[in-house]
Amino acid sequence: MTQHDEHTPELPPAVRDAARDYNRPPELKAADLDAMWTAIESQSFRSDIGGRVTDRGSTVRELTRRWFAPRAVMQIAATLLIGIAIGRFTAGPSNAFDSPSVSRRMTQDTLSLAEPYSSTSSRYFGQAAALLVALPAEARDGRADARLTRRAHDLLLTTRLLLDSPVANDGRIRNLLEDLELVLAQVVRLPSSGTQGRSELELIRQAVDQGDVLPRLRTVVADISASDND
Amino acid sequence: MTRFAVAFKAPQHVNSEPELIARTVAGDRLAARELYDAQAPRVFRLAFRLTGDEDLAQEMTQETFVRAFAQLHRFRGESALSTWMHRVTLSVVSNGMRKVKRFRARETDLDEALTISAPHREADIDLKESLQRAIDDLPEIYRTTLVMHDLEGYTHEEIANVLGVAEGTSKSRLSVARAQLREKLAPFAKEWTS
Repeated sequence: MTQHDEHTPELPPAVRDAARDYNRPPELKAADLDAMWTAIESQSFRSDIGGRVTDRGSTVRELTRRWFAPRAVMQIAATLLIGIAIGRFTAGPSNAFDSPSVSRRMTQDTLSLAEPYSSTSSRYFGQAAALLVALPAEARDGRADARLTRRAHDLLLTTRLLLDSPVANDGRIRNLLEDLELVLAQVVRLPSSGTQGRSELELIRQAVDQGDVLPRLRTVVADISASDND
Repeated sequence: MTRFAVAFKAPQHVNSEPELIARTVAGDRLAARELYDAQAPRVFRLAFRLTGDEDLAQEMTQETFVRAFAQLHRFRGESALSTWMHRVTLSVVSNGMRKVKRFRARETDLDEALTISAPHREADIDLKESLQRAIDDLPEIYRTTLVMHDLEGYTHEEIANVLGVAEGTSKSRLSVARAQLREKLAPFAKEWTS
């Protein structure tokens, strides 16, 4: 049978053939894999709002170690960290125990974020909108190529970084980031072949539609831009 | 759009297994999912071969990964991750099947008490059924070795690593398993030699 058992007498061919049918495993369907994963995920990873894995004790260094490996997010991530550092240095003694200082002003129509969060967030939301708009054409029949998956993956990492940044102190942005996190996670999981992805793509479309994700994205980008021009 | 196209030109990066393990230990679900996608089909195959039941095999696959992720920080990379995963699989299946057998034994006792069993007609049992029964009846260490080697194509080296025994032990267990099958299937000797 193999080079390892030349001294072990073989079973007769008829028995060997019959033995191959012993508990022959069925083909594992993608739906089964996903169902098992859901159970595993819920038992193995603790989560907070939106199912996001977090380590409450994590420091900026820990975040850096965990998320910064993909070079595609380096620029945005570095900008965010510089922003946090600047915020901490410029914070006066009176608010030394506050969260990192982000000059944030919410009105009904504008959303003001201090630099570097403003440009970083604006760029990120723009990229997320572009991906979602292009998704039906790029993931035709629910199949995602490696480039699309990588883009979604990198954006997902940035989403999580933003969720852990002062940008998410704003409820509207936080909700949007959490919705984007779910949608991007689904995009990352689109298969590269087969037809299974069709239903996945439809679920993504429904999630985007039902959550008004694209209009909210556009509004946030417009509000950030408007406040930049003030 | 051009601006985005430029921004999206990320460098190609392939996640290595050690990197995925480190990220999983740190709580990264995507990395965990990648490990799962790579390992789950073979874990499920092995679980199914040993249980013969799809639902049970799925349950045991889940349990294997839950346990593996909980213990992943202890994985030192001294063996391949797949070897380590299969070791966890066998442990989960072995424990799980003990419970299932106890449950089934109680069910069988109850059935026997309530029904008069039909006389056993040996002539109706073909080679496949007999073989199924003969493999089922093998002691666990022989059955596992036979299933892994003859049915799933593991090498003795892999089996030895998974079971934590010497390669020679794996070979000898396979030899015993095959001998016991031959003995039990002796009534079909004519059939398999024709």
